[in-house]
Amino acid sequence: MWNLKFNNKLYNRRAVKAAVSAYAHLAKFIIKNTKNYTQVEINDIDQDFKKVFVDEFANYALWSNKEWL
Amino acid sequence: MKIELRTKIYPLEAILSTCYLFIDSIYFFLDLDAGKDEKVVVSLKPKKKLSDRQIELLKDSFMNELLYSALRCIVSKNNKKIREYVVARALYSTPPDSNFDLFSSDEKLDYRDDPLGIAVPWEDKYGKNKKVKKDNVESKV
Repeated sequence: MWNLKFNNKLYNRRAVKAAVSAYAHLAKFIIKNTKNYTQVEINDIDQDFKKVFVDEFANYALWSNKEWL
Repeated sequence: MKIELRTKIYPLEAILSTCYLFIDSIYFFLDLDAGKDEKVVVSLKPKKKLSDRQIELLKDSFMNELLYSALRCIVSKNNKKIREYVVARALYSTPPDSNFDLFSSDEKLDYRDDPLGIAVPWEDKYGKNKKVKKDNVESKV
């Protein structure tokens, strides 16, 4: 299980959600919103992508963030 | 590898735009250290396996690009008004000359007057010429 905390000042919530919906077929996600963070819990990652999954997911969220700057 | 960047020195826009520039070769994760001096903590992880020297070089080029992005942010802020003016000027085209009054010359005219010859039928204007042209063609044949 992985737990990523995206700071709301750096990552737009919609960007994180966009990343979750893009990677939804490769893992199970639980999103929790707190005051300062969007927390994403990642479970059951596809075995083929396990090594790079979290990093790629974080990069995708950062890239999606571009649209809402 | 982690780099801490003070947002007073490196604006957030500059940090993000630099990350976007290197996103093909590096995995990024950003966090904010909100203290007295707000800092953005950038976690970098190269996508390919690199030697220590190569990682150091990558970090250096990231920092250089960051500095350049920060400078662009400053220049962009300083030139904001000029850019807005240039765009506005381009969009609104040439403003009408205040000395030129569009209707002043027409005020003395009657509605039946036609100084530009707009009311003249097309046949009266070009009909004869057309006939002449036709005659020319026939005479040549």
